[in-house]
Amino acid sequence: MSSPSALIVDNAHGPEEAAVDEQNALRAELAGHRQWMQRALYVLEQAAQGNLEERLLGCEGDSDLVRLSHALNQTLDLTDAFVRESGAALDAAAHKKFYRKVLLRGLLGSFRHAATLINSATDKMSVQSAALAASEAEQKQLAGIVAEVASSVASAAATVEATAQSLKQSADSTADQASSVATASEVTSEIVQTVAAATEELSATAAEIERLARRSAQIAEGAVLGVERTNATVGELATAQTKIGSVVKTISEVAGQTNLLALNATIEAARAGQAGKGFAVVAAEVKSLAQQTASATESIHSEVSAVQSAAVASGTAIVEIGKTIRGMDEVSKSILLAIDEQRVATRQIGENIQQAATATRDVSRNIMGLNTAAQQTSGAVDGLLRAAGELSGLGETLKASVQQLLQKSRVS
Amino acid sequence: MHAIAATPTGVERTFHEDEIIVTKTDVKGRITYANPVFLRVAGYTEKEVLGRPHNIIRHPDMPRCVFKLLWDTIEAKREIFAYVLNLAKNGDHYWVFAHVTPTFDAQRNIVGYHSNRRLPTPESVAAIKPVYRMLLEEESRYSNKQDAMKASTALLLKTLAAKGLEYDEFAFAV
Repeated sequence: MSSPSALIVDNAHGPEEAAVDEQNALRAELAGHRQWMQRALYVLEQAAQGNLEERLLGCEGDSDLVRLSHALNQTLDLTDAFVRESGAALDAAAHKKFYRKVLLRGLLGSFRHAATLINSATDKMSVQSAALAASEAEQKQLAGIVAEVASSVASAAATVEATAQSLKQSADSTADQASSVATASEVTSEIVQTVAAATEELSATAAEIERLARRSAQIAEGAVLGVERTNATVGELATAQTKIGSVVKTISEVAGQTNLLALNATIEAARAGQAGKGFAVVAAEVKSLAQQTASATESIHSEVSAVQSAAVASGTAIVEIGKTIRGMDEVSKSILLAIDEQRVATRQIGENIQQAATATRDVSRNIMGLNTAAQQTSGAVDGLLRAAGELSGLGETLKASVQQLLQKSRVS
Repeated sequence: MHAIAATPTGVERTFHEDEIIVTKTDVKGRITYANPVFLRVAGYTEKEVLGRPHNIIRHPDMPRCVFKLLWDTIEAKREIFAYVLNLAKNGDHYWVFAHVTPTFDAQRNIVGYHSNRRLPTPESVAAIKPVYRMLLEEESRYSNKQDAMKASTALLLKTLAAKGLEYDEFAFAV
């Protein structure tokens, strides 16, 4: 398509043939011109149709035609250069390569002017693009912030939900525990009552023991008195004994004397003969009486001695009994003391139990309250869970909206 | 593949900042058009260059990886900007800021390539020289050309990454 067509200009040779030569030369020149014109026409017609590739080749020398050829070629070169450059610069700008300007060097006149316009338009596009990028960046940042907020909301919702769940579990378990505590406190109540009853029994038993102890003490006192009385009696007995002894002694002496008298009487009676027989009998009677008296006094003496030693023995025994009774008395007294202490302790227990019972009742009440609170919490938690769910949903919607917004701005 | 290039003379050529060196090639990189500025600066006639591969102006001090990047980019139907050190016919050299684009037919197939080269600022040249020197040194470490190119390409990419720039942006920022 682009074939180099040479334009040959020959030198003329002879004088005679000069005219012919000149004519030939002129004809050749004309033919050459015609050739040139056809070639030039072709190039220009191609150029008119937008094909800027054709040039006039093979032009040498400095004839007008050569200069014309060069001028034509140069025009096409400039036009070609401008077309390529402006196209490339605008294409680059469309791809945001704003640094690619049209090179102004070598472009003259209108070409340069147009090139300058294109370059300043590119600059403006660059500024606008930067502003748009900045605004996009801001938008992205905003979207980022919103997305973060949405994320925070979502995660806050998740946290709330998790907390609510654990709260619910806690409330449920508290309710369970409250139930079991309520049951336990009922049991405790029963136990307390049982203990209270036992304590009362204990008190009663203690009272009984006390009564018995007092009784024992009374008995002991009585025994002590009895011992003292017995001692006194023994003392009197000894005194009586002594008296009896002295009486017996007197009787004995009297019996002795009687005996003597009887003896004397007998003797006298014997002397008296018959007259004295009656007297001798009486004297014999008196004698035997005296003897009986003497033996009676003997047996009284031994009886009295026996009684005396029995009295002494019983006196010793009584002393022993007295000691024992006194010992018992001590024991009774210490039992009473112990009972007293035990009573105090029992009262303490009683009071403590009552306190425990009261406390248990309080606990029960509190537990009931706790149960109610737990149930309320559970209910509140359900509400919270719902709210968390709504919040989560909102967060998701927000995120999705942001994504859409980002997409839209990216596409533009 | 390469023409026998002249030895670099070390002489720098230049052109006017309002001039553009224009060349076109076919899909294989053979020159189908070169404007008078090219012919003047590179020191060739039109006849000498038409049909020749473009790399006749390749300077030995240019790291290969830049050309690899160039061809990879334009074969992928994209444009590329690059600072290029070129070799004139007689060995002189000249710096350009090149803009190479593929040429498409109506069906968007590549039918050729187009290059506009402009005069770079001294500052840009001063900035790009050490980068190319570094890449060239890397390449000189390897005897195998493929390895050399791989290594310097890697180094270029690393340098770009360190600056946080794509190549295009880097070329414009230099």
